[in-house]
Amino acid sequence: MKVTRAEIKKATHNPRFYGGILISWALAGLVVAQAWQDPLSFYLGKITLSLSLLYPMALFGPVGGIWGGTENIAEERMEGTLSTALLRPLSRWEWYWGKVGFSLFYNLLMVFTPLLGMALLDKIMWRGGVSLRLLGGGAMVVLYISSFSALSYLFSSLFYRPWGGPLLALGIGAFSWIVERLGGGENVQIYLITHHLSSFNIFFLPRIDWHQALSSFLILGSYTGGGLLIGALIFMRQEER
Amino acid sequence: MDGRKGRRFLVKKFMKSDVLLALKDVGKKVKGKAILEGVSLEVREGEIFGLLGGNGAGKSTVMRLLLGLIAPSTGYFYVGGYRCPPLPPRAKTMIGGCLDNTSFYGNLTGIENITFFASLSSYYPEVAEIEFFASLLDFEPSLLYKKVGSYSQGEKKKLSLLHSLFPLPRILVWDEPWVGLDPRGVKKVQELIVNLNTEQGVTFLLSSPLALELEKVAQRVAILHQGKIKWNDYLTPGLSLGEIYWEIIEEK
Repeated sequence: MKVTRAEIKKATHNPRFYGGILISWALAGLVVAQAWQDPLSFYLGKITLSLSLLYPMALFGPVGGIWGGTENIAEERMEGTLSTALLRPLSRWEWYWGKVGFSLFYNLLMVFTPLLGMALLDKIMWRGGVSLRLLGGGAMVVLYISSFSALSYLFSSLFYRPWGGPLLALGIGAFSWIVERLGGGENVQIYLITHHLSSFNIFFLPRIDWHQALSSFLILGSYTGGGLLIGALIFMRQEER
Repeated sequence: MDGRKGRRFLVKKFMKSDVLLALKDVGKKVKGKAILEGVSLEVREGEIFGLLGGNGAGKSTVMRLLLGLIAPSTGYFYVGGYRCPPLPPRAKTMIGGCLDNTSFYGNLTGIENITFFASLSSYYPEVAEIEFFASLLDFEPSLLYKKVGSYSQGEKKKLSLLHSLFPLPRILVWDEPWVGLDPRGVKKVQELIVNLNTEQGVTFLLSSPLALELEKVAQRVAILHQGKIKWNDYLTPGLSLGEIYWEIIEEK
């Protein structure tokens, strides 16, 4: 926890931290502007502001989560700050998971702060409000973004170039999207990361399909947990020369 | 008491109580090349121990090893009675380090960097405490409030020495502490080493390629050449470390 706490404090001095949050709020602003221009279609389609925000958040969130969060492992290693941190009474394991803790916290912050703002506006405009559906949809988007963060952690533990991990993680996302668009092999498609881009919608259907929700959570959870765990195991075996 | 704890307890009990750092027949290979070969040395409590060697002799490898950043390929070492590797966080609380190229976050000020890294040791130093130690190192207090990205090499070196003092550990491992410093800076660092040693009882392991500077503060010195310890003894008046070093180099 001390690493996560220190990372949060450090991040408040980093313009990238505010950049990611600002982008998520800018997306919220665009959704509000759209609703302002065409309020009738929002009203008739029973589309809430918060639901409209989740898709662009899922689409752009991985970029914000990876770059806006914090210095990745390769970046810390190249700048030498990783060695400075490891001089402290910390194990490599503790440092890694502390960093991960901050990343997950950042993803939560990036999704839920504008989402709660939108829910508040929904309440004012359409008497909507914060519901479990909204929390479920938000959690699904956070997990989707976190799976990209996890891949970025995994690859940045392997590389010495700061951009290697994030680019490869986003590259996997792009590859998954192309494979999905090519179609076919439905049994395989469900395991593609981008297949779950719109999984938050499950929570806004008249009747929530819990089976589908659970499978999306499990698959995205496997990407997140698996990526982070493999990244940790690789990181544990390394040395800071 | 589980097996691991039990082993550490026994190690603590039977390890010579006054030996804080020890390397036992340590070797290190990187990509098949031997960096260290059969290195053994002991640093006793309250001692200022110097490690003298030229570029590529393996000094920084010894320092990084004792600070837990790398593991030996062969042999083992002790830090405060704990047999390593791995260097457990409990042993790390006893040891503070400054690498030859300690790096900081350029977008943070000196004081923010110090408090950030100290917080990883669950220590939150007061500003006055940081300014006090900074003044001992002849480090302008106003510099502490400037972004590290704008620091000169010497200022970065002083910051790296300064950051290792929070919290003040029992053992300080400083790799080339006067590299990049002007003569006044070197003198201040040497004074600080002697003061911390005599007044606070801090044990030092210093490395340097400069015999003249090392013999001003060290009580005992080991000469490391091509990854091997060639000489290890107490410094006595009249003994020229530089001459011993040259004799060893020319023996080759």
